[in-house]
Amino acid sequence: MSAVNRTVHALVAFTLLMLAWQAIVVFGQYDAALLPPPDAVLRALVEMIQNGSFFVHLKASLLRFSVGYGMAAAAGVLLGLILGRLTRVWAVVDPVVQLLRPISPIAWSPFVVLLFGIGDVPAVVIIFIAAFFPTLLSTVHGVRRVSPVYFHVAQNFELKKHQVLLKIVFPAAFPSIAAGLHTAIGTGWVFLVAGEMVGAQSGLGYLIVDARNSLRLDMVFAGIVAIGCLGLWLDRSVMFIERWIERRWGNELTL
Amino acid sequence: MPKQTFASRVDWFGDGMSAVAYIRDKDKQIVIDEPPKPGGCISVLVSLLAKRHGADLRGVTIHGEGDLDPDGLFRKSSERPVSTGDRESTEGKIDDSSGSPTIKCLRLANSDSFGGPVMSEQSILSAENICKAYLAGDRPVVVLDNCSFNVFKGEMVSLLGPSGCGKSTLLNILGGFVRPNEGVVRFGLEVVTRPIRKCVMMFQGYALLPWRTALQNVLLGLEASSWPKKERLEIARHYLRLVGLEDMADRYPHQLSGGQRQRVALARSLAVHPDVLLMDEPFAALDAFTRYRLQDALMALQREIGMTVVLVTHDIDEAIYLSDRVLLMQGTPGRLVDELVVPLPKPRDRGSRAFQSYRERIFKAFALSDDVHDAADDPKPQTTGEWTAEKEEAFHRG
Ligand SMILES: Nc1ncnc2c1ncn2[C@@H]1O[C@H](COP(=O)(O)OP(=O)(O)O)[C@@H](O)[C@H]1O
Ligand SMILES: [Mg+2]
Repeated sequence: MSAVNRTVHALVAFTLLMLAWQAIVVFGQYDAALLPPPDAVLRALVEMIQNGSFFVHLKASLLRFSVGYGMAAAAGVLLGLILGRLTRVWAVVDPVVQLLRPISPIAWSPFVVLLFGIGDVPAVVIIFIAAFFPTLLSTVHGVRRVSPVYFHVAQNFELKKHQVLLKIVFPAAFPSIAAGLHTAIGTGWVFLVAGEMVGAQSGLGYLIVDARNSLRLDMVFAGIVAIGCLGLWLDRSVMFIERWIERRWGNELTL
Repeated sequence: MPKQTFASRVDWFGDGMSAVAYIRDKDKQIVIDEPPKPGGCISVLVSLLAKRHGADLRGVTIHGEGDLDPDGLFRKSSERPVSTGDRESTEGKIDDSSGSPTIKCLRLANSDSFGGPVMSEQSILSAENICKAYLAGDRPVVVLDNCSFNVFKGEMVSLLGPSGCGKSTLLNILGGFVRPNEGVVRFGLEVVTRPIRKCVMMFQGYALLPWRTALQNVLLGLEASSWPKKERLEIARHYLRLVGLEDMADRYPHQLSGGQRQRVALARSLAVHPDVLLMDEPFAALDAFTRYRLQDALMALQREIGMTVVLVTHDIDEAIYLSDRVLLMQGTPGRLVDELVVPLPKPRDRGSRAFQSYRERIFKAFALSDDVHDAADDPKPQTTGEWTAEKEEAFHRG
């Protein structure tokens, strides 16, 4: 499918969605204060952009997300690279990870707030928890699937331990690591809003809570739309990077 | 060096709970009475026990074959003599007097290692009594049984045998990638316990790193060295040029043909200046045209650099064409059954008489030793010793 085709399809879908939304508002005869129509949401968005508050929240959110996600990515990949190589240790750590993984990061929020207070940190911690596990598991999985023959080559050339990790394990496991980082961007972004509802005073999540408290549902909707669009944009950027690397390294990696 | 106590016979008796081996010597009898270890296999176990008791098992037959249960019980499964220990045991079934070269297939029994005395001065690589068993499920399967040979400096030696006979395993043991259950590999005088740069393996399938370009692949081996970056690059480029791939330096492996990949792997191996190059079926995946060309290229390079090469192959012509010496291997368990010195001048003419005669000798060796195998299983000895097309096909299938 060509890029033009894809764009056309996306535009059609978007238009249909807007029409359906408008139709529900008109035919359902909902109060505009309860279910704002698209044009009201757009107006709210423009208003927030014009008075600058939108960018303040956006900046706060993106900053928290980058810090939380960045730390999770670094920790997940580094730990994954090491744990993936230590079969015995992983056998012990794996059950613990499996136990912790299904717990929603939000469940930790009482502790997070008690430990880190309010402000930027709770949101960052929650994003970290959300992004950490997919990254870690994917990295370990990738490392454990690296063909033993590469290790033999490294041994043969007497590469040192850190060289093996850097020159063999990391690149060989990279497709799996990238897939994990991709998943983690999704989960991290999902929990951004939840994280910012826990004691933050800014950010897109706070924007939604604040707008609700002042019964500005058009603003709530504007926040939702912004979060959706940004999430989509993040996901696409990562996918684009992934594709580029895959093309460069050839098909062998996808085997 | 083990003590030279020549035993003539080992008997195993299993009563279900323990196993007893009697190693009978001419004048004395050593009795080994030890419960077998779980997961062991008889021939390996016997050699281990004998070694501990200071006996040398050269020229020994192990009577009775059995498996060791995982819980350490000895289960006797057949009365057939295992491991062609001495000639007597199989004498009734093999025509020993014909003087044919296959008699040598029992030479291993007497365990003169191929390539002269073990640990000779010039030998650069030596395998001494290598035994290797793998567990298939809970049954130990002996893959290599007492393989000994020497490789001398500057030599091109082939390990030739049907697929599945343990060639790759033996080569991996030589390179230090796999530990033998018994026996040692020496590089010079040092015992090999792990892979070293001085003895580089070119793996089946080449094992190029797909995320590195041809040049970066060649650089890999140099990156562990203390060479300055600029010189490393120079060396890598030099070897790429040597294999004729200077134009392909920036291509990724998936952008190269099979033959080009093989040459990148060769350049990568040569770049670290190894003393010995181990090659596992390096030409098997190539078409005939490329194969012939690359065989010539390898031969020229080997002569130029003066390198020692051990090459694993299942291709008889390839072995004769390239090698100074061919070691013939047979399967289950893998053994070295014969040795063929090929003193023809290089490059060789594949169509020449002499070439033909070496080919026939190898055919014969395999065909006849095939009969030995059949005879052991079959009470009626087969008489056809010719190399049939069927057999050749079976040989390649392994
Ligand atoms: N890691 C392993 N575990 C179990 N069996 C193995 C292993 N490696 C090799 N084998 C067995 O050893 C035998 C010899 O294998 P190999 O050395 O690859 O033979 P060749 O290279 O001559 O074709 C085969 O029967 C194979 O199944
Ligand atoms: Mg093989």
